[in-house]
Amino acid sequence: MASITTWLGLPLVLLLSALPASNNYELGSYGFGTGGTSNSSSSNYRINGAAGEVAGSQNSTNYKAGAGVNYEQQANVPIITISNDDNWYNKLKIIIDAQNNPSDAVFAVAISTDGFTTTQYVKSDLTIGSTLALTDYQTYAAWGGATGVMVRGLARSTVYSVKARAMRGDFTESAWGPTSSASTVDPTLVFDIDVAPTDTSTSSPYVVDFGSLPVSTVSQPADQVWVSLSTNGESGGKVYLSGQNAGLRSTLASYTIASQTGDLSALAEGFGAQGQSATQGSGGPLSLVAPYNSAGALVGVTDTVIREMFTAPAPVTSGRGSFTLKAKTQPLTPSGGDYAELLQAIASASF
Amino acid sequence: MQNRKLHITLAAIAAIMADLFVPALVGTALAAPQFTQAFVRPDRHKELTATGATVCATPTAATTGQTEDQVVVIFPTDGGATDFVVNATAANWVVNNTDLPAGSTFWPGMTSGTTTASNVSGKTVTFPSGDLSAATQYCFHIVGTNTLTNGSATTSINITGATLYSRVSGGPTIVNQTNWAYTVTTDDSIVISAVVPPNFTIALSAYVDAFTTNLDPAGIVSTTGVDATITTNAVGGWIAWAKDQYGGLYSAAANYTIASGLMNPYPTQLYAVGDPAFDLVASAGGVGREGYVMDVDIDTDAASGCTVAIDAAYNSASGNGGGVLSSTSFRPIAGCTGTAPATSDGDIITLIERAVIRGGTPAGSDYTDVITVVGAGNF
Repeated sequence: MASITTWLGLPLVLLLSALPASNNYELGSYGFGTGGTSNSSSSNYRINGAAGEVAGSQNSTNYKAGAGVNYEQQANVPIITISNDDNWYNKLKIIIDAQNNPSDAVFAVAISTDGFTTTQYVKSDLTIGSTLALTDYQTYAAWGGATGVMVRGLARSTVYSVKARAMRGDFTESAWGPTSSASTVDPTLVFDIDVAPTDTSTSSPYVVDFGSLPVSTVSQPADQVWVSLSTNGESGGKVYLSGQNAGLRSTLASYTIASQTGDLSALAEGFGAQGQSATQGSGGPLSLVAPYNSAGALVGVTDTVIREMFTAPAPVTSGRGSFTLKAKTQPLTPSGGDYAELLQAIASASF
Repeated sequence: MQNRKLHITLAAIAAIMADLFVPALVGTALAAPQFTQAFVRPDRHKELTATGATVCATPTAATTGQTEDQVVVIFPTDGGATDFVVNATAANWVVNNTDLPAGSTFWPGMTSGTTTASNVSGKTVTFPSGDLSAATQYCFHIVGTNTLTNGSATTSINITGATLYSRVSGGPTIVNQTNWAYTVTTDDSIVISAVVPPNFTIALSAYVDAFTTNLDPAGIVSTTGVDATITTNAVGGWIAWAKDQYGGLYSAAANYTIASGLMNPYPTQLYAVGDPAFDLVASAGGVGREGYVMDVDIDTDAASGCTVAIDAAYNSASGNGGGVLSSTSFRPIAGCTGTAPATSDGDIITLIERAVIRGGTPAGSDYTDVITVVGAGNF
């Protein structure tokens, strides 16, 4: 009888204490496991316990107190860095620090050029857009992981700030994380010419003198022509060469030792250029373009057509190349002390 | 109670949703998609020098669905002492397809040598364009006359503001845009100089030229002939001279000289140094004739270069004559001339001596003459 009474009594007690409520409100969830040895989690489940009320101000300039169920559900605020690693003029690299968010968390990136007075967003295709769509939230892996990704289509010589936030499911979006800033630079192209026997900086005028050309002999002057090329153009740059006279021309003799591509040791007469070296400090690489990449008595033509002599397929820093000139006369090559050619070297960079 | 609870829940959801889908905010407008690649290559880098330029660009997929009708080149500002000068006359900005990169396509909507800019405003030059396709490199060249003049030499960080874009003018909508860099140098030319030294050679095929038979009053007897080969790179050709030692054929044993020229009849000398070539005449009919001449013939007039001509004094066409050599001065016997460069790749002239005697010409087996031949290139 007592046991029945007890059995009947316990449910009544539990029933009365299960729904704390007032006339107008009901407590939907309440603290659990705050004392004693009861556990609020199992292998597959857990209960988020609310911390209770917060007294005083919840925010300061740099910090705020997160409280409540919603805060517990939010993803961890990520950290993002933006950098210009290589004199980029139209792109910057961003790397997200996931801050222990799980691998299926997704992140959004905001970007601004005015300190977030106005805000745009990095889209899923890594361009910039004015709106943020769900598809622009991407996983850490999609944002390039520890390597990061390039944000493209940026303006030159502009400071960009970025910030990121994370989300993992509905109602879990974090606040924006701290900002990071970096600047694009201007597109650059550096080009210079030197004339010297060895790699030396010289000033204009640039003159290469063969001196007297012994007949039936392949001759080359002591001086080489050196060119410098540096550019941050995404597709690199090129150095071109052309010759005003298409050869060594004597006005007095009314004769031109014609420039041509070929083996001067086999030709009776001719004139042309031969590359000697191509190096770079970084990037590129800078290389010689046929037919200027030969050796021996092989030369490439230098005529009125603007022809590529050096090329770098990617941004190059401190590119340095050199070429020499070779000439050969035959017994019938009219004598003259005024044989001359005017070569022009120009450079371009592809952005 | 139930309704208020529901409202709170909905409000919370709405707030979260609002937080999730932030309304589009107006931010800084950034450039249109860059061309896949683009470059502007000047004809000259030299400061303060007029130049043209080659413009090339490869549109991206952004061009799909767009019908471009303009390509705009904005030339940079030179922060050095002198800025770039962009000629304000649109008609000066003629385009052509000169020296375009291999594999490129001449810019659509342009005609080489005819199309000009449609507008020039400050540093901005607008050209007409046709519709572009993605992944095709388009290029055009701008002439360098009365268009662009480089500023002063300075590093590229001081040359700013250069950009290139394609546009649909109706929007206007910029389809692709790329900022590019420029450089200006103190000089971009290399002067190459060389000297081709003069050369001249004259070579004789032999140094003894005997008469083929004994001299005969009945006929004209000639020597075999000696070739003189002349090679020179003189731009004005060459000249050859000759003089003899004895003024004729001289016999020491007979102490007699068959004088240069023709005594007809002996001893009447009909010819002198400088007279045009003449024929020797055999002695006959009781008329004694005596004479000695040198004839010069062209064996080879080498191809190209100068043209050989025999001096009229020694140019016997009949094969029986010649001219009078001087024993005191060199006489021109042949030359090679022409439009410069009148060089010679091995002209050959043949020197032949001829003689006729009279019956009373003193006998002797040692009749001889020494002819000196010299030449020079006309540099």
